[in-house]
Amino acid sequence: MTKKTRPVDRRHVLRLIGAIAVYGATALQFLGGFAKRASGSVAAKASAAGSFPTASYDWTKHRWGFGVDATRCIGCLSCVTACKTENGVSMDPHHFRTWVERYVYLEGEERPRVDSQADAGDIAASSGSVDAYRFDDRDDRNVEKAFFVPKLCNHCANPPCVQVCPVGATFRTADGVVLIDQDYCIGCRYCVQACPYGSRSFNEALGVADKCTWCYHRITKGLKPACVEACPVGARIFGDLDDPQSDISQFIRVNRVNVLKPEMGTHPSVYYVGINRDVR
Amino acid sequence: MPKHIVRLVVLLAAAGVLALAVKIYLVPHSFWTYGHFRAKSVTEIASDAPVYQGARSCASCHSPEFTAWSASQHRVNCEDCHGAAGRHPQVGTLVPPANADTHQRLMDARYGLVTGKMRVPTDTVQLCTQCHAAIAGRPATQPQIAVRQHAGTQQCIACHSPHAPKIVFPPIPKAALVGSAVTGKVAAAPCAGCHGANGKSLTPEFPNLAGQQRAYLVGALEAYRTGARKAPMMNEMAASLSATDIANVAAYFSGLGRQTPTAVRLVSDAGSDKASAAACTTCHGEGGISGNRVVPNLAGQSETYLTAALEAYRIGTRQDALMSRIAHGLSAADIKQLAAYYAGLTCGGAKTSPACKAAP
Repeated sequence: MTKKTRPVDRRHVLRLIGAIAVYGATALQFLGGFAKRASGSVAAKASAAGSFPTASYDWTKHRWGFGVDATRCIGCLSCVTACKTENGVSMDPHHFRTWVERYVYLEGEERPRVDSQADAGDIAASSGSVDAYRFDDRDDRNVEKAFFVPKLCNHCANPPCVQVCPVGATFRTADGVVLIDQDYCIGCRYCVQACPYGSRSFNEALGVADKCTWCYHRITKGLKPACVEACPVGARIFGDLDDPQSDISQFIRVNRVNVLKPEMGTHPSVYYVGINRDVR
Repeated sequence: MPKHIVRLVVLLAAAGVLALAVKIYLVPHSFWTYGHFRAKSVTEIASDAPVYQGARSCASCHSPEFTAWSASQHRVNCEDCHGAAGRHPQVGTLVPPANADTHQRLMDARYGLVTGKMRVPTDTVQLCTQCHAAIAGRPATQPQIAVRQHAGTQQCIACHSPHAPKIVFPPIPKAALVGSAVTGKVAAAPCAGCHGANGKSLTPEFPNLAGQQRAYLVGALEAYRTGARKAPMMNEMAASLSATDIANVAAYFSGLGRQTPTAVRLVSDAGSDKASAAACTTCHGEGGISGNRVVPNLAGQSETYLTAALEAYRIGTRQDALMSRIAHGLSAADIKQLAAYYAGLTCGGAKTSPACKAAP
């Protein structure tokens, strides 16, 4: 019995070449993508490409950091208003990119109650604090101790929100800012769930996730974030960690700073002074 | 090659071509340029226009306010109270393109808040207490008030300039600490013609001086001497006094007993007078006896003199940053009522008050 073999004709060879070309090209594309991801940091890639993201700002030349001096905060919420105005955040009390918490220790209680402008935290409020963005309508008679803690996105070096994004709509820039590409976000809210600090919210109007950008459009023009600009008591400090003379470098050098939830391994870039172990 | 293998190869090849096409068409161009994201989005975010413009941008047009603010300790950004400047002072509307994308819509939402017109807060009680109401948790270094006790229903700007709100009293002059009442009595002889031998004025146009705050008297005489405060007769009298004379004269008059006022007359019921005087008490004391040595006592002062003084502050012939601001907001009727109220207050009515007792 002789084995029947079909002759290798021209048509088959051409088909084979076509297939190899198609598969090869596809494979190269994907491999190229992975190679890019694997080869070096974002910063290294960026520096090779010249000034990015804008002509006048090179993101490889900065490493931004933020400081909060909670001992100075007076809870006036100017920062919240400024942030909302600057970034077009909804003015209702349940949407915000930065917020201020008041830790209140009532007489005879060991654990603090966390009071915010949107929620009086079981501390009797005399009137509609929800609309007013104020802390001055609370019944403070039984308060033994209290302090304010401004909060915002920690712009973690190891951000859980970026890890979970299924489409690559959120990322950390070379200068250390975690951003959302709101044109690309599919609104699945995984990142809102993933953030251990509650720093992300959902923008119902646009159907996308929303978060603090450290006013990336300002800092890339040499300005400070709106909340830092607005703070009347200097409780918010911002600057370049790579510049030893910047406000933030001096703040970290002079003070014994903490970060929130260090045990999460997120490596936050917001440094706190004047908080205690109950602040998380 | 068997036919079924060839079919499989062709099928896979077609799938490969399809996958490549899908990738090319669906993955944004700049994806993977710097990582697993669209690099172009960073440029888009960075290109947004700032809304908060910072205090510096206000300086060129609003220089008087900017200067006052810069010199004060009240370094609250202009936009905290007046709202974000955005595209102020240019007025106009941003027309979004018909095919506005998400990003563009965000920008519009942002500019929608800014109409080119700045906010001038009218309810300063509401505004200022945002930082200055006493709340548990505010650091002790922050000036805080219990609003009701501090000013009743008065607006903050009745006394405080919004741009430089700290009220700065002149320092207590050294002369107010060294004068001698005995020598002063001699030097004060010419004063008696109008102010009375014992500091109780003979005519209602001239103020009583008995028991007046010593530092205030020194300050007033100095101001007359230099011409900072204008009254022809007093300028002339004060010009002949040396610094030592001033110290002595002040010591003499301040040491005289404050007694029943010359005119005890109330034009309206005392309750409403007291309410209208609420803003005065912070400096001039609850019973018209000042707790601040550079601020004059008002209790038992001549009504005519008080009316004239307030009127002078109101129209600007007498100048004082704080008093001018307060008097500017008073009507003629208010002035009359306040003058009558303070003229009617007696030290006798408040004998128990420490301020009254302290005055010899």
